[in-house]
Amino acid sequence: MNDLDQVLQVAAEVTSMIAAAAEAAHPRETGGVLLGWWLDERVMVYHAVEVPDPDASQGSWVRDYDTAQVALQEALGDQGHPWLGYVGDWHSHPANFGASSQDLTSIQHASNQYDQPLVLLVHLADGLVEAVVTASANHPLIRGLIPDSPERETT
Amino acid sequence: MATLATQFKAALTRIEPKVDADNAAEAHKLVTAVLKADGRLKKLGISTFLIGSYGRQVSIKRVKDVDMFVRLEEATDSLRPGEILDHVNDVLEDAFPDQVARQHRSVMIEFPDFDLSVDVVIARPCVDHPTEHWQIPEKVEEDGRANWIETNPVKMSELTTEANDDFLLSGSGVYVPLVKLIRQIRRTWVDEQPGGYYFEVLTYHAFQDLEPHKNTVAGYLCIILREIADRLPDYVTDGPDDPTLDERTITTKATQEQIEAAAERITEAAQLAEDALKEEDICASALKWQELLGKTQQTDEPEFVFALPEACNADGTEKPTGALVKGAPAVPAGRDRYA
Repeated sequence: MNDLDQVLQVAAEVTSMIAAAAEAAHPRETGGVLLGWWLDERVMVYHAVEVPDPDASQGSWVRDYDTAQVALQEALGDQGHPWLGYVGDWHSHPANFGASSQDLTSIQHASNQYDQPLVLLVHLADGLVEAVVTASANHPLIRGLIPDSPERETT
Repeated sequence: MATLATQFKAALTRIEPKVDADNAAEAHKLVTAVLKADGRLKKLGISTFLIGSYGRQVSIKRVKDVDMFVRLEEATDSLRPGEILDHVNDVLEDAFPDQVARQHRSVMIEFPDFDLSVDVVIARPCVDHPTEHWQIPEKVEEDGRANWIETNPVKMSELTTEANDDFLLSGSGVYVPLVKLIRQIRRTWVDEQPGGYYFEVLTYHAFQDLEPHKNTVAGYLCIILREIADRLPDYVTDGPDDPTLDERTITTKATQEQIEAAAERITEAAQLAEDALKEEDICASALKWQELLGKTQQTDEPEFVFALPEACNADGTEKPTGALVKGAPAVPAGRDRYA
Protein backbone atom coordinates (compact mmCIF):
# COMPACT_ATOMS: atom_id res chain seq x y z
CA MET A 1 0.00 0.00 0.00
CA ASN A 2 1.51 3.34 -1.02
CA ASP A 3 0.89 6.80 0.34
CA LEU A 4 -2.15 7.48 -1.87
CA ASP A 5 -3.86 4.20 -0.94
CA GLN A 6 -3.45 5.03 2.70
CA VAL A 7 -5.28 8.32 2.41
CA LEU A 8 -7.77 7.84 -0.40
CA GLN A 9 -10.34 5.39 -1.70
CA VAL A 10 -12.39 6.19 -4.80
CA ALA A 11 -15.44 4.20 -5.95
CA ALA A 12 -15.26 2.99 -9.57
CA GLU A 13 -18.55 4.76 -10.31
CA VAL A 14 -16.86 8.08 -9.55
CA THR A 15 -14.16 7.75 -12.18
CA SER A 16 -16.60 6.49 -14.81
CA MET A 17 -18.98 9.39 -14.13
CA ILE A 18 -16.13 11.90 -14.37
CA ALA A 19 -14.87 10.34 -17.61
CA ALA A 20 -18.34 10.56 -19.19
CA ALA A 21 -18.81 14.20 -18.13
CA ALA A 22 -15.32 15.13 -19.37
CA GLU A 23 -16.03 13.57 -22.75
CA ALA A 24 -19.38 15.34 -23.04
CA ALA A 25 -17.84 18.72 -22.20
CA HIS A 26 -14.77 18.36 -24.44
CA PRO A 27 -13.04 20.55 -25.59
CA ARG A 28 -14.06 22.69 -22.63
CA GLU A 29 -13.27 21.87 -19.04
CA THR A 30 -15.99 20.75 -16.67
CA GLY A 31 -16.00 19.88 -13.02
CA GLY A 32 -17.99 19.34 -9.89
CA VAL A 33 -17.99 18.19 -6.32
CA LEU A 34 -17.08 14.87 -4.70
CA LEU A 35 -19.30 13.23 -2.08
CA GLY A 36 -18.06 10.83 0.57
CA TRP A 37 -16.81 10.69 4.15
CA TRP A 38 -13.61 10.34 6.17
CA LEU A 39 -12.63 7.11 7.92
CA ASP A 40 -9.40 6.43 9.79
CA GLU A 41 -7.50 9.23 8.09
CA ARG A 42 -8.74 8.13 4.65
CA VAL A 43 -11.01 10.11 2.40
CA MET A 44 -13.68 7.79 1.02
CA VAL A 45 -15.04 9.18 -2.28
CA TYR A 46 -18.38 7.55 -3.05
CA HIS A 47 -20.08 9.77 -5.61
CA ALA A 48 -19.36 12.65 -7.99
CA VAL A 49 -21.69 15.39 -9.20
CA GLU A 50 -21.16 17.76 -12.10
CA VAL A 51 -21.59 21.45 -11.31
CA PRO A 52 -22.01 23.44 -14.50
CA ASP A 53 -19.92 26.57 -14.99
CA PRO A 54 -21.40 28.58 -17.89
CA ASP A 55 -18.06 30.36 -18.32
CA ALA A 56 -15.92 27.21 -18.41
CA SER A 57 -13.27 27.30 -21.13
CA GLN A 58 -10.59 25.01 -22.53
CA GLY A 59 -8.40 26.04 -19.61
CA SER A 60 -10.65 26.88 -16.70
CA TRP A 61 -13.57 25.70 -14.56
CA VAL A 62 -14.82 27.55 -11.47
CA ARG A 63 -16.75 26.13 -8.52
CA ASP A 64 -19.36 28.70 -7.54
CA TYR A 65 -20.78 28.36 -4.02
CA ASP A 66 -24.48 28.79 -4.81
CA THR A 67 -24.53 26.46 -7.79
CA ALA A 68 -22.37 23.85 -6.10
CA GLN A 69 -24.39 23.91 -2.89
CA VAL A 70 -27.64 23.27 -4.78
CA ALA A 71 -26.01 20.38 -6.66
CA LEU A 72 -24.68 18.95 -3.40
CA GLN A 73 -28.06 19.11 -1.67
CA GLU A 74 -29.87 17.49 -4.60
CA ALA A 75 -27.28 14.72 -4.72
CA LEU A 76 -27.53 14.13 -0.97
CA GLY A 77 -31.31 13.76 -1.30
CA ASP A 78 -30.99 11.43 -4.27
CA GLN A 79 -28.21 9.25 -2.94
CA GLY A 80 -29.90 8.34 0.33
CA HIS A 81 -26.70 7.82 2.26
CA PRO A 82 -26.52 9.52 5.66
CA TRP A 83 -22.71 9.58 5.76
CA LEU A 84 -22.33 11.45 2.49
CA GLY A 85 -21.23 15.05 2.26
CA TYR A 86 -18.75 17.24 0.48
CA VAL A 87 -15.16 15.90 0.49
CA GLY A 88 -13.58 17.66 -2.49
CA ASP A 89 -13.70 18.73 -6.12
CA TRP A 90 -13.02 17.28 -9.54
CA HIS A 91 -12.47 18.80 -12.96
CA SER A 92 -11.27 17.80 -16.40
CA HIS A 93 -8.20 18.84 -18.38
CA PRO A 94 -8.89 18.64 -22.12
CA ALA A 95 -5.15 19.05 -22.70
CA ASN A 96 -2.90 16.29 -21.44
CA PHE A 97 -1.33 17.73 -18.33
CA GLY A 98 -1.83 17.03 -14.65
CA ALA A 99 -2.88 19.16 -11.72
CA SER A 100 -1.62 22.73 -12.19
CA SER A 101 -0.21 25.01 -9.53
CA GLN A 102 -3.53 26.92 -9.69
CA ASP A 103 -5.35 23.62 -9.00
CA LEU A 104 -3.17 22.91 -5.97
CA THR A 105 -3.66 26.43 -4.65
CA SER A 106 -7.44 26.27 -5.06
CA ILE A 107 -7.98 22.91 -3.37
CA GLN A 108 -5.65 23.84 -0.51
CA HIS A 109 -7.52 27.12 -0.12
CA ALA A 110 -10.83 25.26 0.02
CA SER A 111 -9.35 22.73 2.43
CA ASN A 112 -8.56 25.43 4.94
CA GLN A 113 -12.32 25.67 5.65
CA TYR A 114 -12.50 22.07 6.96
CA ASP A 115 -10.92 20.02 9.71
CA GLN A 116 -10.36 17.07 7.37
CA PRO A 117 -8.26 16.91 4.18
CA LEU A 118 -10.01 17.40 0.82
CA VAL A 119 -9.52 15.54 -2.45
CA LEU A 120 -9.07 16.94 -5.93
CA LEU A 121 -9.50 14.57 -8.88
CA VAL A 122 -8.24 15.73 -12.27
CA HIS A 123 -9.39 13.83 -15.35
CA LEU A 124 -6.58 13.94 -17.90
CA ALA A 125 -6.92 13.86 -21.68
CA ASP A 126 -5.56 10.31 -21.89
CA GLY A 127 -8.25 9.01 -19.53
CA LEU A 128 -6.07 8.79 -16.45
CA VAL A 129 -7.26 10.43 -13.24
CA GLU A 130 -4.82 12.22 -10.99
CA ALA A 131 -5.65 12.60 -7.32
CA VAL A 132 -4.52 15.24 -4.88
CA VAL A 133 -5.16 14.88 -1.15
CA THR A 134 -4.55 18.12 0.70
CA ALA A 135 -2.12 18.45 3.55
CA SER A 136 -3.35 17.62 7.06
CA ALA A 137 -1.90 17.19 10.53
CA ASN A 138 -1.06 13.58 9.67
CA HIS A 139 0.44 13.91 6.20
CA PRO A 140 1.73 16.42 3.65
CA LEU A 141 -0.04 17.02 0.35
CA ILE A 142 -0.13 13.71 -1.53
CA ARG A 143 -0.72 13.31 -5.23
CA GLY A 144 -0.69 10.42 -7.69
CA LEU A 145 -2.73 8.47 -10.20
CA ILE A 146 -5.69 6.71 -8.67
CA PRO A 147 -5.71 2.90 -8.62
CA ASP A 148 -7.80 2.51 -11.81
CA SER A 149 -5.02 4.19 -13.77
CA PRO A 150 -2.40 1.96 -15.44
CA GLU A 151 0.56 3.97 -14.21
CA ARG A 152 1.01 5.43 -10.79
CA GLU A 153 3.28 8.12 -9.49
CA THR A 154 3.24 9.46 -5.98
CA THR A 155 5.14 12.30 -4.44
CA MET B 1 -36.07 16.33 1.40
CA ALA B 2 -35.04 12.69 0.81
CA THR B 3 -35.74 11.80 -2.80
CA LEU B 4 -33.58 8.66 -2.67
CA ALA B 5 -33.20 8.31 -6.43
CA THR B 6 -30.60 5.56 -6.07
CA GLN B 7 -32.90 3.44 -3.92
CA PHE B 8 -35.85 3.99 -6.29
CA LYS B 9 -33.74 2.84 -9.21
CA ALA B 10 -32.88 -0.33 -7.30
CA ALA B 11 -36.54 -0.79 -6.29
CA LEU B 12 -37.64 -0.66 -9.92
CA THR B 13 -35.02 -3.28 -10.76
CA ARG B 14 -36.29 -5.45 -7.92
CA ILE B 15 -39.87 -5.56 -9.28
CA GLU B 16 -38.73 -6.01 -12.89
CA PRO B 17 -39.92 -9.47 -14.05
CA LYS B 18 -36.75 -10.25 -15.98
CA VAL B 19 -36.93 -14.07 -15.91
CA ASP B 20 -40.70 -14.05 -16.42
CA ALA B 21 -40.31 -11.72 -19.38
CA ASP B 22 -37.85 -14.08 -21.06
CA ASN B 23 -40.14 -17.04 -20.39
CA ALA B 24 -43.23 -15.15 -21.55
CA ALA B 25 -41.52 -14.22 -24.80
CA GLU B 26 -40.57 -17.85 -25.38
CA ALA B 27 -44.10 -19.10 -24.55
CA HIS B 28 -45.60 -16.50 -26.86
CA LYS B 29 -43.27 -17.60 -29.64
CA LEU B 30 -44.22 -21.27 -29.21
CA VAL B 31 -47.97 -20.59 -29.22
CA THR B 32 -47.77 -18.21 -32.17
CA ALA B 33 -45.84 -20.74 -34.25
CA VAL B 34 -48.48 -23.41 -33.64
CA LEU B 35 -51.42 -21.13 -34.45
CA LYS B 36 -49.84 -19.66 -37.56
CA ALA B 37 -49.11 -23.13 -38.93
CA ASP B 38 -52.81 -23.99 -38.94
CA GLY B 39 -54.42 -23.73 -42.39
CA ARG B 40 -57.82 -22.50 -41.27
CA LEU B 41 -56.41 -19.78 -39.02
CA LYS B 42 -54.09 -18.73 -41.84
CA LYS B 43 -57.09 -18.25 -44.12
CA LEU B 44 -58.77 -16.17 -41.43
CA GLY B 45 -55.80 -13.82 -41.48
CA ILE B 46 -54.29 -14.64 -38.09
CA SER B 47 -52.16 -11.94 -36.51
CA THR B 48 -51.06 -12.17 -32.88
CA PHE B 49 -50.36 -9.36 -30.45
CA LEU B 50 -49.36 -9.44 -26.81
CA ILE B 51 -51.76 -7.51 -24.61
CA GLY B 52 -52.10 -7.24 -20.87
CA SER B 53 -49.53 -5.69 -18.56
CA TYR B 54 -46.72 -7.83 -19.97
CA GLY B 55 -47.53 -6.74 -23.52
CA ARG B 56 -47.49 -3.08 -22.46
CA GLN B 57 -44.24 -3.63 -20.51
CA VAL B 58 -45.81 -2.44 -17.29
CA SER B 59 -45.88 -5.84 -15.55
CA ILE B 60 -44.13 -6.44 -12.25
CA LYS B 61 -42.68 -9.52 -10.64
CA ARG B 62 -44.21 -12.00 -10.83
CA VAL B 63 -45.92 -12.44 -14.19
CA LYS B 64 -48.18 -15.46 -13.85
CA ASP B 65 -50.19 -15.10 -17.04
CA VAL B 66 -49.64 -13.56 -20.44
CA ASP B 67 -52.57 -12.41 -22.57
CA MET B 68 -52.32 -13.02 -26.27
CA PHE B 69 -54.69 -11.25 -28.62
CA VAL B 70 -55.28 -13.36 -31.71
CA ARG B 71 -56.75 -11.16 -34.43
CA LEU B 72 -58.53 -12.94 -37.26
CA GLU B 73 -58.34 -10.10 -39.75
CA GLU B 74 -60.34 -11.82 -42.49
CA ALA B 75 -63.11 -13.07 -40.21
CA THR B 76 -66.64 -11.84 -40.87
CA ASP B 77 -69.51 -11.33 -38.48
CA SER B 78 -70.71 -14.84 -39.31
CA LEU B 79 -67.82 -16.32 -37.33
CA ARG B 80 -69.18 -18.38 -34.45
CA PRO B 81 -67.02 -17.83 -31.40
CA GLY B 82 -67.74 -21.18 -29.78
CA GLU B 83 -66.81 -23.05 -32.88
CA ILE B 84 -63.57 -21.14 -33.57
CA LEU B 85 -62.53 -21.42 -29.94
CA ASP B 86 -63.08 -25.19 -30.17
CA HIS B 87 -60.86 -25.24 -33.22
CA VAL B 88 -58.13 -23.20 -31.54
CA ASN B 89 -58.42 -25.45 -28.49
CA ASP B 90 -57.90 -28.56 -30.65
CA VAL B 91 -54.92 -27.08 -32.50
CA LEU B 92 -53.24 -26.15 -29.25
CA GLU B 93 -54.14 -29.42 -27.53
CA ASP B 94 -52.37 -31.34 -30.31
CA ALA B 95 -49.23 -29.23 -29.83
CA PHE B 96 -49.33 -28.98 -26.04
CA PRO B 97 -51.03 -32.15 -24.74
CA ASP B 98 -52.55 -31.88 -21.25
CA GLN B 99 -51.51 -28.23 -20.98
CA VAL B 100 -54.59 -26.68 -22.56
CA ALA B 101 -57.82 -25.60 -20.86
CA ARG B 102 -60.84 -24.14 -22.62
CA GLN B 103 -62.17 -21.07 -20.81
CA HIS B 104 -65.46 -19.17 -21.25
CA ARG B 105 -63.97 -16.75 -23.78
CA SER B 106 -60.41 -17.88 -24.31
CA VAL B 107 -58.04 -20.83 -24.36
CA MET B 108 -55.37 -21.14 -21.70
CA ILE B 109 -52.09 -23.00 -22.13
CA GLU B 110 -50.08 -23.82 -19.01
CA PHE B 111 -46.31 -23.82 -19.18
CA PRO B 112 -45.32 -25.54 -15.94
CA ASP B 113 -41.60 -25.21 -16.64
CA PHE B 114 -42.04 -21.45 -16.80
CA ASP B 115 -44.66 -21.35 -14.02
CA LEU B 116 -46.89 -19.18 -16.18
CA SER B 117 -49.80 -19.53 -18.59
CA VAL B 118 -50.71 -17.97 -21.91
CA ASP B 119 -54.33 -16.90 -22.37
CA VAL B 120 -55.34 -16.88 -26.04
CA VAL B 121 -58.16 -14.46 -26.81
CA ILE B 122 -59.74 -14.68 -30.27
CA ALA B 123 -60.88 -11.45 -31.91
CA ARG B 124 -62.71 -10.51 -35.10
CA PRO B 125 -62.90 -7.08 -36.72
CA CYS B 126 -65.54 -4.93 -35.05
CA VAL B 127 -68.75 -4.67 -37.08
CA ASP B 128 -69.10 -0.95 -36.35
CA HIS B 129 -65.43 0.07 -36.50
CA PRO B 130 -63.76 -2.60 -38.65
CA THR B 131 -60.50 -0.76 -39.24
CA GLU B 132 -59.84 0.26 -35.65
CA HIS B 133 -61.55 -1.91 -33.11
CA TRP B 134 -62.02 -5.59 -32.43
CA GLN B 135 -64.66 -7.78 -30.89
CA ILE B 136 -64.08 -10.65 -28.50
CA PRO B 137 -66.65 -13.12 -27.18
CA GLU B 138 -68.15 -11.86 -23.95
CA LYS B 139 -69.15 -15.31 -22.88
CA VAL B 140 -69.58 -18.33 -25.11
CA GLU B 141 -72.66 -20.42 -24.39
CA GLU B 142 -72.72 -24.19 -24.75
CA ASP B 143 -74.45 -23.94 -28.12
CA GLY B 144 -71.59 -21.79 -29.44
CA ARG B 145 -73.57 -18.57 -29.42
CA ALA B 146 -72.07 -15.52 -27.78
CA ASN B 147 -72.39 -11.84 -27.35
CA TRP B 148 -69.49 -10.00 -28.87
CA ILE B 149 -67.98 -7.13 -26.98
CA GLU B 150 -66.03 -4.32 -28.53
CA THR B 151 -62.45 -3.86 -27.39
CA ASN B 152 -59.31 -2.10 -28.45
CA PRO B 153 -56.35 -3.44 -26.44
CA VAL B 154 -53.83 -2.39 -29.06
CA LYS B 155 -54.79 1.22 -28.33
CA MET B 156 -53.74 0.91 -24.69
CA SER B 157 -50.29 -0.21 -25.80
CA GLU B 158 -50.06 2.84 -28.07
CA LEU B 159 -51.24 5.18 -25.31
CA THR B 160 -48.68 3.70 -22.93
CA THR B 161 -45.86 4.32 -25.38
CA GLU B 162 -47.07 7.87 -26.03
CA ALA B 163 -47.36 8.69 -22.32
CA ASN B 164 -43.89 7.33 -21.67
CA ASP B 165 -42.54 9.55 -24.44
CA ASP B 166 -44.40 12.60 -23.12
CA PHE B 167 -43.41 12.44 -19.45
CA LEU B 168 -39.69 12.39 -18.88
CA LEU B 169 -37.28 12.26 -16.01
CA SER B 170 -33.63 12.93 -16.88
CA GLY B 171 -34.45 12.25 -20.51
CA SER B 172 -36.09 8.86 -19.94
CA GLY B 173 -39.77 7.98 -19.85
CA VAL B 174 -41.18 8.05 -16.33
CA TYR B 175 -44.76 6.93 -17.03
CA VAL B 176 -44.00 3.21 -17.32
CA PRO B 177 -41.86 3.11 -14.14
CA LEU B 178 -44.64 4.95 -12.30
CA VAL B 179 -47.27 2.45 -13.48
CA LYS B 180 -45.07 -0.34 -12.15
CA LEU B 181 -44.70 1.37 -8.76
CA ILE B 182 -48.44 2.06 -8.56
CA ARG B 183 -49.15 -1.59 -9.41
CA GLN B 184 -46.78 -2.65 -6.63
CA ILE B 185 -48.46 -0.27 -4.16
CA ARG B 186 -51.87 -1.68 -5.14
CA ARG B 187 -50.63 -5.19 -4.42
CA THR B 188 -49.31 -4.05 -1.06
CA TRP B 189 -52.20 -1.87 0.10
CA VAL B 190 -55.37 -3.09 -1.65
CA ASP B 191 -57.17 -6.39 -1.06
CA GLU B 192 -57.46 -8.16 -4.42
CA GLN B 193 -59.90 -5.75 -6.15
CA PRO B 194 -59.84 -3.40 -7.98
CA GLY B 195 -57.12 -5.03 -10.06
CA GLY B 196 -53.87 -3.85 -11.54
CA TYR B 197 -55.34 -2.67 -14.86
CA TYR B 198 -57.85 -0.48 -13.04
CA PHE B 199 -55.00 1.27 -11.24
CA GLU B 200 -53.02 1.51 -14.47
CA VAL B 201 -55.92 3.41 -16.04
CA LEU B 202 -56.16 5.68 -12.98
CA THR B 203 -52.44 6.39 -13.34
CA TYR B 204 -52.92 7.15 -17.02
CA HIS B 205 -55.71 9.66 -16.29
CA ALA B 206 -53.69 11.26 -13.47
CA PHE B 207 -50.77 11.87 -15.84
CA GLN B 208 -52.99 13.20 -18.60
CA ASP B 209 -54.95 15.55 -16.33
CA LEU B 210 -52.11 16.86 -14.17
CA GLU B 211 -49.35 16.86 -16.80
CA PRO B 212 -46.83 16.73 -13.96
CA HIS B 213 -43.22 17.80 -14.25
CA LYS B 214 -41.10 16.61 -11.35
CA ASN B 215 -37.39 15.97 -11.12
CA THR B 216 -37.49 12.79 -9.05
CA VAL B 217 -39.37 9.49 -9.02
CA ALA B 218 -40.39 10.26 -5.45
CA GLY B 219 -41.94 13.56 -6.54
CA TYR B 220 -43.92 11.89 -9.34
CA LEU B 221 -45.05 9.09 -7.05
CA CYS B 222 -46.42 11.50 -4.45
CA ILE B 223 -48.44 13.58 -6.88
CA ILE B 224 -49.85 10.61 -8.83
CA LEU B 225 -50.72 8.64 -5.72
CA ARG B 226 -52.53 11.63 -4.21
CA GLU B 227 -54.51 12.14 -7.43
CA ILE B 228 -55.57 8.47 -7.48
CA ALA B 229 -56.57 8.67 -3.79
CA ASP B 230 -58.68 11.76 -4.49
CA ARG B 231 -60.37 10.27 -7.55
CA LEU B 232 -61.16 6.74 -6.33
CA PRO B 233 -64.24 7.72 -4.31
CA ASP B 234 -65.78 9.11 -7.52
CA TYR B 235 -65.78 5.64 -9.06
CA VAL B 236 -67.91 3.77 -6.55
CA THR B 237 -70.73 3.30 -9.08
CA ASP B 238 -69.03 3.86 -12.47
CA GLY B 239 -65.39 3.23 -13.19
CA PRO B 240 -62.96 5.69 -14.76
CA ASP B 241 -63.29 6.49 -18.47
CA ASP B 242 -61.85 3.83 -20.75
CA PRO B 243 -58.99 5.59 -22.59
CA THR B 244 -59.32 3.18 -25.52
CA LEU B 245 -63.04 3.46 -26.28
CA ASP B 246 -65.26 6.54 -26.43
CA GLU B 247 -68.08 6.80 -23.91
CA ARG B 248 -67.09 3.63 -22.10
CA THR B 249 -65.88 3.18 -18.56
CA ILE B 250 -63.58 0.59 -17.06
CA THR B 251 -65.43 -2.26 -15.45
CA THR B 252 -64.18 -4.10 -12.40
CA LYS B 253 -65.10 -7.10 -10.32
CA ALA B 254 -64.75 -4.87 -7.27
CA THR B 255 -67.86 -4.20 -5.21
CA GLN B 256 -68.73 -0.70 -4.03
CA GLU B 257 -67.40 -1.63 -0.60
CA GLN B 258 -64.11 -2.76 -2.14
CA ILE B 259 -63.77 0.51 -4.05
CA GLU B 260 -64.41 2.48 -0.88
CA ALA B 261 -61.94 0.37 1.05
CA ALA B 262 -59.34 0.81 -1.69
CA ALA B 263 -59.89 4.59 -1.62
CA GLU B 264 -59.23 4.65 2.13
CA ARG B 265 -56.09 2.54 1.82
CA ILE B 266 -54.67 4.55 -1.07
CA THR B 267 -55.32 7.74 0.88
CA GLU B 268 -53.21 6.28 3.69
CA ALA B 269 -50.54 5.29 1.17
CA ALA B 270 -50.52 8.77 -0.38
CA GLN B 271 -50.07 10.34 3.05
CA LEU B 272 -47.20 7.96 3.81
CA ALA B 273 -45.50 8.87 0.52
CA GLU B 274 -45.82 12.59 1.28
CA ASP B 275 -44.42 12.06 4.77
CA ALA B 276 -41.51 10.07 3.32
CA LEU B 277 -40.71 12.82 0.84
CA LYS B 278 -40.82 15.57 3.49
CA GLU B 279 -38.71 13.61 5.98
CA GLU B 280 -35.23 15.10 6.29
CA ASP B 281 -33.69 12.07 8.02
CA ILE B 282 -32.59 9.70 5.27
CA CYS B 283 -33.03 6.45 7.22
CA ALA B 284 -36.43 7.47 8.60
CA SER B 285 -37.53 8.47 5.09
CA ALA B 286 -36.28 5.23 3.57
CA LEU B 287 -38.23 3.19 6.13
CA LYS B 288 -41.43 4.97 5.07
CA TRP B 289 -40.77 4.31 1.38
CA GLN B 290 -40.09 0.67 2.29
CA GLU B 291 -43.46 0.40 4.07
CA LEU B 292 -45.18 2.02 1.09
CA LEU B 293 -43.79 -0.39 -1.51
CA GLY B 294 -43.95 -3.55 0.60
CA LYS B 295 -42.47 -6.83 -0.52
CA THR B 296 -42.30 -8.64 -3.84
CA GLN B 297 -45.36 -10.83 -4.24
CA GLN B 298 -45.86 -14.39 -5.46
CA THR B 299 -42.11 -14.94 -5.29
CA ASP B 300 -40.39 -17.87 -3.56
CA GLU B 301 -38.57 -15.54 -1.21
CA PRO B 302 -40.43 -12.24 -0.83
CA GLU B 303 -38.06 -9.32 -0.30
CA PHE B 304 -38.56 -5.67 0.43
CA VAL B 305 -38.90 -3.77 -2.83
CA PHE B 306 -37.27 -0.67 -1.35
CA ALA B 307 -33.99 -1.55 0.33
CA LEU B 308 -32.78 0.62 3.17
CA PRO B 309 -29.45 2.34 2.58
CA GLU B 310 -26.47 0.38 3.88
CA ALA B 311 -25.90 2.90 6.67
CA CYS B 312 -29.43 2.45 8.08
CA ASN B 313 -30.71 -0.05 10.64
CA ALA B 314 -33.90 -2.01 9.97
CA ASP B 315 -35.83 0.24 12.37
CA GLY B 316 -35.04 3.36 10.36
CA THR B 317 -32.29 4.61 12.66
CA GLU B 318 -28.77 5.29 11.51
CA LYS B 319 -25.93 2.87 12.24
CA PRO B 320 -23.32 4.19 14.63
CA THR B 321 -20.47 5.84 12.77
CA GLY B 322 -17.64 5.24 15.29
CA ALA B 323 -14.42 6.70 13.95
CA LEU B 324 -16.15 7.80 10.77
CA VAL B 325 -16.55 11.50 10.03
CA LYS B 326 -19.46 12.36 7.76
CA GLY B 327 -18.84 14.40 4.64
CA ALA B 328 -19.36 18.13 5.02
CA PRO B 329 -22.92 19.42 4.62
CA ALA B 330 -21.72 22.47 2.68
CA VAL B 331 -19.29 23.18 -0.14
CA PRO B 332 -16.53 25.78 0.44
CA ALA B 333 -17.62 29.40 0.56
CA GLY B 334 -16.79 31.63 -2.38
CA ARG B 335 -15.41 30.60 -5.76
CA ASP B 336 -12.34 28.49 -6.48
CA ARG B 337 -10.86 28.39 -9.95
CA TYR B 338 -9.23 25.31 -11.48
CA ALA B 339 -7.10 25.54 -14.60
